Amino acid sequence: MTLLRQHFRSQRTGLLIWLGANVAATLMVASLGNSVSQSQALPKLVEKLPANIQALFGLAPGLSAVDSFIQAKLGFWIILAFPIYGCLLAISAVTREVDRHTADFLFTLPIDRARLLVSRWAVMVADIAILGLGIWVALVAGLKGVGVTGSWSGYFWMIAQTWLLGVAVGSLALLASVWIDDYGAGTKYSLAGVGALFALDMGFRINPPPWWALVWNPFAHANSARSIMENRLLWGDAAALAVIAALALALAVHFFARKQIRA
Amino acid sequence: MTLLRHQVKSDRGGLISWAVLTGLTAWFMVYMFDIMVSSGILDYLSQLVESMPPAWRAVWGGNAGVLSLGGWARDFLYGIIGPLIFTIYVGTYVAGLVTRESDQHNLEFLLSLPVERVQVILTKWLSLLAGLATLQVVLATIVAVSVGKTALASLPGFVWANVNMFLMFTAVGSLLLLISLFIDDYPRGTAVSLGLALAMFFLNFVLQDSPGAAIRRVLPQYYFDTVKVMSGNAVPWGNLAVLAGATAVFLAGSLYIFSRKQIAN
Repeated sequence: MTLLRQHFRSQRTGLLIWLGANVAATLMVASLGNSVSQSQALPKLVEKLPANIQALFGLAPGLSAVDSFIQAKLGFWIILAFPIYGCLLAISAVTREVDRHTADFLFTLPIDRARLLVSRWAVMVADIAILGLGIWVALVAGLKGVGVTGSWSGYFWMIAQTWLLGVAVGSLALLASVWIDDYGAGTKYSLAGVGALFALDMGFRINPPPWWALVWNPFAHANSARSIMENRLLWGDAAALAVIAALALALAVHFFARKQIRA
Repeated sequence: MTLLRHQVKSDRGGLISWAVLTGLTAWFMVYMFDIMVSSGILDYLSQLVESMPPAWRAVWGGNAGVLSLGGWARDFLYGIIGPLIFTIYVGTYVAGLVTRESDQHNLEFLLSLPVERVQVILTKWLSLLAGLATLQVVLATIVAVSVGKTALASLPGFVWANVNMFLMFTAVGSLLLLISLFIDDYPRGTAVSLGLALAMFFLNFVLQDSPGAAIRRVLPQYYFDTVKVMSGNAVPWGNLAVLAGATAVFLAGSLYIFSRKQIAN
């Protein structure tokens, strides 16, 4: 618990910066809700589009104008922001300590390597959750402020599903970071990985490959429009993301226990 | 010159990775358009757009929006995916220029050499330009080769769009460089630099459908209008001038701040 508290405190400034920026951006999105809700052109257009094009733009027929707008703007953004934030937190867990030569000191303390890694992973999970919760509160308050009613619980599930995506991508970055001792390189590689996986998923939405070629990409398991539309967590995709995260964490713990730290 | 050569040499590996990522992503997105054509989705979409009232047809750029290969490249590669990759590149790269050197106590050594501070910061800035120019050339080459000259609405427009995008990211990078001079902790610098770059990208993405949003005018992204530049033959002199001016101001600010920066031991 002390480890958890300590790492959480060290990440507090970063969390506040990300939270502040995201809440401000969300309020800006919400402020446009009133003008968007008066136009019915987008929902009508969406209904006529072929399924592949709907998937590419992340659209879903049947959503109201406001919901379509929120998922197209905010949904698109958090699908990128949560994994990026997760990667930054994951790289801070191990690579940063090794790069700064503080890992040697850390291991002289009477703590288990596994416990250390899991506590840092838990901080990552908690920080992304706080970020998501802040965005949801800002979105609801912002839309209510301009007198617009949206799918409040649908937005919650959209954010919850994306939170799982952030955790899964962050866990993969944590696993990769066990072999990277340079913080700069770790950040660049993990973010390049996020960009590549995201672009690959966009392409595959047009022409979906067999399931086995899709299932390993965490981005394939986040769908903002469907989360709002079905007003629930997408259980199959959520389970896939949880398995990816758990597997990556287990492997990270395994390899971190054997990692040679240069003094 | 030696400083610049040294900086370029140390950036080489990372830059090659980013260039490969940019090239592969561009090629993949163009390839996906071919899939849309061969699967018949595009024909269906074309018929649908033709049957729409004029106002709706305008959403798709008349009949030449995302329905043409050139329009696809314009809206996706130059409108979303390309700028996103460049944003992440600039956000992470700039944090490594001064903040990292300061965090790792390399600046003291660097400044003990017979080089002026102005020279140090100019070298760092030029290496940023070199990296951005490399990625821009890679993106433009892959798009030009895979899309083909005839599919592009306007060849001069395509060239100017690349110049415009390069200048836009030069302005973003110069602003981040100026801000990074106030941060000596590398991880924090990375988070701030990347967070700011992404926030600007997102704000522009959110507000681009709201022409009345005055706040968008302060974003460098506002001065890169892909549709306008790539569809016409007119050179976007006004936008280029604003971006070049902003870059000059941020660079001058960086030179001023860095020449007075206290380097902690």
